[in-house]
Amino acid sequence: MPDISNEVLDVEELSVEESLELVTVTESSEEELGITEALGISGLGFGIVFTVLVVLMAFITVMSMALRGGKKESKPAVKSEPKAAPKAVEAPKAVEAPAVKGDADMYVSLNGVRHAVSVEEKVPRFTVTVNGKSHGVDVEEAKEDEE
Amino acid sequence: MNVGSILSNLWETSGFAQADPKQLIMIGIACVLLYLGIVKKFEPLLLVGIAFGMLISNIPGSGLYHAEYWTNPAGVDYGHVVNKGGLVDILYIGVKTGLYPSIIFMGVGAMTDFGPMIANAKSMILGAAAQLGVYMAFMLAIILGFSGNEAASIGIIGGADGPTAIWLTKELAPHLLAPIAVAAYSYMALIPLIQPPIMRAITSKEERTIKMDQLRSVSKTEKIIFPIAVTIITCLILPSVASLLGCLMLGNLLRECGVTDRLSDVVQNALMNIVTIFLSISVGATAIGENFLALDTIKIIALGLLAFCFSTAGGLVFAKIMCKVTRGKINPLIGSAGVSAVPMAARVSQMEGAKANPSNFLLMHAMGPNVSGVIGSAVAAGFLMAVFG
Repeated sequence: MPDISNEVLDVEELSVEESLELVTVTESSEEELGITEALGISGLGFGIVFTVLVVLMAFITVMSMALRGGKKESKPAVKSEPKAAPKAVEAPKAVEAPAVKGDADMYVSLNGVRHAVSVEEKVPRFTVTVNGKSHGVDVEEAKEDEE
Repeated sequence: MNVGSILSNLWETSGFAQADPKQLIMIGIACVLLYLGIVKKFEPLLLVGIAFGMLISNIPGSGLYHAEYWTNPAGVDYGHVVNKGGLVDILYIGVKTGLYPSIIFMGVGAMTDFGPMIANAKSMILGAAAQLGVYMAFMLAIILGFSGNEAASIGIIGGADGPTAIWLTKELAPHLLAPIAVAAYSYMALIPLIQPPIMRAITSKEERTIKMDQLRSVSKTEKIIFPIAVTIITCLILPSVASLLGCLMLGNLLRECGVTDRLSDVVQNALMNIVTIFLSISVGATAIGENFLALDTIKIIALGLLAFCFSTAGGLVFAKIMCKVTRGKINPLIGSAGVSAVPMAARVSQMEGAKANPSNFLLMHAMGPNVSGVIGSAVAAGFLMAVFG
């Protein structure tokens, strides 16, 4: 076993085995933990993790409520709308083919009325043709937060 | 000097003449780990580097790494390391000083969206509950005869967070760094195999089919305030965790504040990749035959597995309680994501939920406990550092 009584150790003189033995000697001098103490440390540690995360949870909840004007927790806009009894949507009627038939990319039925629609992408503007009439459409991404 | 003496000298200085059976076994283990990383794709970004570090440090006579420089009870003489050390000794300075784990955490923060957790703050409880394995493994390690420092380092494997495990172990039990790092990263890769049986055992079929409400949208202001507030609150409660959690939150702030996109990009890509290479080689190089081929290594591997299982179970049990309390609004499967392996654990929750109910989408709900698990494991490590460090 290497002599560890000297304060200064020349690490170059130590072999790997000796240095690892040193670590073992140093560690064995640590106060050994009993099971009761270990249980106490575990309980305390688990409690602290819970405390920190619960404090953060409380903070986040309060912060969110404050930023959202006191509303407790709102669902996405679509969900939060009052649910009105859905109107019975008429089944798409067989609409006679509009004059533009053949030129359209798709047929879109809106409340039973069928429209012939084609879309042409001319960045940044789309040209949408509905029933033979062209419309210029600008699409802008909704910003995430405008609060 | 004749040809004979030159050849004789060459032979004596060659690795073949200096080879020790333990070193050869370690080279074999390194090759197995390389196979697992490259062919089986077990955490390849880390495992390939770890295995290669293990390989080169066990080449006899290479002089790349000197364990004795780092185990001197009088302290590390960094001047000596820089003057006389090998390549891996120089790289290992970043591990010993805690630099690499902290930078990795910064990258993790820059890649993580805490939005799902902010949207459902209750899910943070699950991130705390899933640290159960840390303390169970700590207890078991004490029972198996490990010292307090060693038991703390072994326990943190249950946090399922490689950088955190390295950060704590390099300080408390540096001689166990290699087996603990290998166990932590291997089990993180094996999460899709370890967790599902426990999830099915603890939850019922009905519970697994529960569909959760869509999460609310989180504003940019909330996302910016969050990292600043977490740093202040957590570091005031537990200052020892400042380096890890501070870096995690700095990375997240760079991502969310919207004015440091270039820095965020560097942190989550170039910097993180560079440090990952250094970290993995350095950690792998510590696995030298004398300390790795020991009974303790097998005990650590077994305790690490138990730690993962207990952590998974802890999260699931608490999620079941929350399911009961909220009258079925929470799917208990998201509890297992409380272990901090991001995003693997959340994906496992999603997969199991989809198996029970194909129209079930739990991924974003599971990301809440998942990212709070990162904070939870860092806090658990900070506590153990405060007690034993």
